[in-house]
Amino acid sequence: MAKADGKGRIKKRGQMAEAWARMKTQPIAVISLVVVLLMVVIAIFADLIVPYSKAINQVAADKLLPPFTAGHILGTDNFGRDIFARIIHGTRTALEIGIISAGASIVVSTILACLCATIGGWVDNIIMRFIDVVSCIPSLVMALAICAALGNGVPQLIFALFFTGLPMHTKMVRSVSLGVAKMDYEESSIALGAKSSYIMGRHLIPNLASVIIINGTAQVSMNIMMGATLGFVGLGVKAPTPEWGTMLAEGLNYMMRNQYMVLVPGLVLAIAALFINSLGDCLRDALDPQLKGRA
Amino acid sequence: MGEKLLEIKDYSVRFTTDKVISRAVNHVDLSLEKGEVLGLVGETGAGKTTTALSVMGLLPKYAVETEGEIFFHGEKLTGMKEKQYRNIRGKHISMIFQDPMTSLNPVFRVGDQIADVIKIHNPKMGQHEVNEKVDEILTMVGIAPERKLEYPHQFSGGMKQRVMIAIAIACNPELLIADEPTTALDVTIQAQVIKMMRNLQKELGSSVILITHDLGIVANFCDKVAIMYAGEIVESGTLEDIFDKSRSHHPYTEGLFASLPNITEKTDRLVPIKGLTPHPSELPEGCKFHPRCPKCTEICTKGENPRRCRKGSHMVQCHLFEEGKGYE
Amino acid sequence: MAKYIIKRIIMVPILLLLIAMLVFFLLNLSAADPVLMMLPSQYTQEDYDAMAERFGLDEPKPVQFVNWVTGILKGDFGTSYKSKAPVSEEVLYRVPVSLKLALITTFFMLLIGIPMGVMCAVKQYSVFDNIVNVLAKFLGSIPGFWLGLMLMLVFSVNLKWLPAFGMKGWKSWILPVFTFLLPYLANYLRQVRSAMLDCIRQDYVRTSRSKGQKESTVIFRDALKNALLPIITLTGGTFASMIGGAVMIEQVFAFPGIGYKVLEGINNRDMPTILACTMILALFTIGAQLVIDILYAVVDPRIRSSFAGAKKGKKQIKEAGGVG
Repeated sequence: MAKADGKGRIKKRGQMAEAWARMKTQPIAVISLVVVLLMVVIAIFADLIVPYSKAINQVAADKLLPPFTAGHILGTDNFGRDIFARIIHGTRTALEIGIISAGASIVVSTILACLCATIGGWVDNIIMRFIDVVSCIPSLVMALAICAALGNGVPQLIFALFFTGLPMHTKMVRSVSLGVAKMDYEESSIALGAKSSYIMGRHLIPNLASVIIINGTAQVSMNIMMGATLGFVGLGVKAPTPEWGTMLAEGLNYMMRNQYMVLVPGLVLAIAALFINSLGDCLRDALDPQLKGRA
Repeated sequence: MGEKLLEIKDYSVRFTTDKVISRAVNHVDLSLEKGEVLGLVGETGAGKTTTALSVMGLLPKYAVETEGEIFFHGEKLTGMKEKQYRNIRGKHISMIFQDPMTSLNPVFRVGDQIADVIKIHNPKMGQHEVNEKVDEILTMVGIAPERKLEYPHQFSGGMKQRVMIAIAIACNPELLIADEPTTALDVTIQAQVIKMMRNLQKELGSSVILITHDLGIVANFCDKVAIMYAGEIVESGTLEDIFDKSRSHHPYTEGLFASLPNITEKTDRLVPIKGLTPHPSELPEGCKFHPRCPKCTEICTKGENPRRCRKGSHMVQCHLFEEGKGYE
Repeated sequence: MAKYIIKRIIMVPILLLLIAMLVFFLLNLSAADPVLMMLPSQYTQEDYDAMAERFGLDEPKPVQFVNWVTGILKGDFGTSYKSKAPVSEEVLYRVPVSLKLALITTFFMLLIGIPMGVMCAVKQYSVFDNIVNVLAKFLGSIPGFWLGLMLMLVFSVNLKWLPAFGMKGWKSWILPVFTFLLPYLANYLRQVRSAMLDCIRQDYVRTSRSKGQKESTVIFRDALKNALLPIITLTGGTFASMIGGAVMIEQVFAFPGIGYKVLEGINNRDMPTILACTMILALFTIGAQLVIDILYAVVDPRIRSSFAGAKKGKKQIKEAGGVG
């Protein structure tokens, strides 16, 4: 029961194995994990499932076909492009954007937060004031503004999402780090004359692992959603690239003639977000059993 | 002696969490007369608090199974309707909790928290009267009445526990359950609080169940003692029965005393009880204490619990004792 | 207390200035020359210079920034590149619309979210709790703009009950508010539930029960007042993110608010409009934050008294003397 856990997760090697054991017993967790892994597989092997050319080739004769027509399981859009192919390759775009941008913000904000926590003083002050300022601007508006300034394209979009993801993590990781820094073993290693870089690597980061995993998953799903949102308003990726938000926006004009152009990408987006969020929740329950059932 | 105030008969509590069954309290029999002070002694996890919460009817609602009966003034508490139970809580039976730091509501004024319990049980009492009563009770527990407008965070630990006591005694309850009331306090404050509780008990004539693991407090305060181990009462009796060194006791009780320092008898070193209390989900067969018992024999490791052997007021649950014998 | 509030209010302009710097910097990352965008495809150098001068774009960037900020102080947000009209005229009248949308939605969110969240916490793991939880998880994952489209499809296009877009009386508010509400309500409710669960497990709740308090009072007074602290933070945070989220809702329903304008500005690469809208949205966020901080101090006596430090010190001395 009480696993000498206390406030800090001191045991670090057993932590992940234990979390995994806990997760295996939860059907929802397993289902979410399978769906997310499936998405990753689809993204990696998109070209094997359906060639990219099918997703961008415009066939004037095949405009706005309904689903289940020969050769087009989900029908075609207004340019005669196969919706299924665009959804599959859109998965790749979405995950690419979501994972890279979230990963970048996690890495940078963890470093920033650890700097805040270990060095403190003016470094902490400057970083945190900067974060305060950034977090005063609604993240969607900020992402919109950055995309507007930088123009369309995947790298620009990733930068915008990376930047807007910074404040939340930095704040959270900093507060966890400060908690760790107050713990006894941290103090004892300072007393033994450990360098702050050593403390960061040895104590902080392992203790942050669960926070990073939980936040990271949440951020991936948020960024996928925001990427699609930006795509929906015509920012973000460049035109022919298959992307769910852009597909939705294009479908809007043809809502009366082919409702699937709106229905399918939205549904896929919702399902993706739902399962990644659900996976995040399960990961949190598994990594932090004390919190279980609270949220 | 006087009339029976509280009677617990063959009472057991089981918790089920994640399919693991914990037997927190097992076949407990206890009785308390009016004006008596009973000390319930045992290590952490022995089921003392669970027993106390059962009397209060405050066990969690889900994943809990209980067996046996609890009577208060001859009235059956187990299975009583919640609405009826509410009239008893705070008025006839009240409880002082272990940790005063977290037991007071941080966002309400101290005075209001005391006034609450008075208002609940005296709905017709006017605001002015309630205020007077609050002042009176605060004075009784040694807090200046002006401080009733303050919030819990403005009080020290000892003062918070006094507030908790004030809440508990506000309606002159017949039974007061004090669950390790001093564990969270500094040693010097502990003595003050215990002294104050003893005086209040004499003044009000309430019966008290004092839950503690401190035998010193028991010796100072209690008339009767029950020693709990792994959810069972392994030895009980009057204060004299238990503290009389010339008699033999349950090996666990002996262990408890041996682990205490004593200045009158010079001992070379303190003798701790080896091993740990078993978790309520993994209780051993036979006598629950046998894995740690220095006098363990073949018979102790198997079968049912040992029989309870009585001699007068003294009861011991151990195979080493037989009815009437073993009490040299 | 008053001192604390004043301190917070003094911080607002400083924060706004820093935000202005950041936004101005970010928007000027663009390589595109706004002057070129405004000129017809055939232009002379004189045309270019005249246009640049008219919009103050001939000055170096830092000077442009200073001009822009001093302009705002005079109530002048600059001139729109697109319509060539003062931005303040185009933007300011939209503020009440957006604010109203966010406030109405917040109102319903509180009205439904708090009781439902509390109910879920009290009846944890019950059928009700499980159903609400699954529904909330699902709704919380749906992209708001897509939900809006679907609702529009059902209620405006197919059933023809409600107007699809624009501002045509109170009926126009129903779909936007509903679309806006659902995902936020879903997340809010789950967070209220978890805040409440934290409080229900506290010792003081048990104390209250031990007094013989009615269960409803235990939950709605003793536990909920404590849960209010995290709930206030949540509400503020949700409100702040709504300010951003409104952009999409306004876009989908062609709702004449600030968010609609900012997107219009972004599509036209109309910097003055974007800047003005962003500053106003940031001001909302800061305002929400300020209100939360003040409310927090009002609800929590511990925070309140930490601003009256001297008084507390005296009491502790008195107490120490009183005990012995």
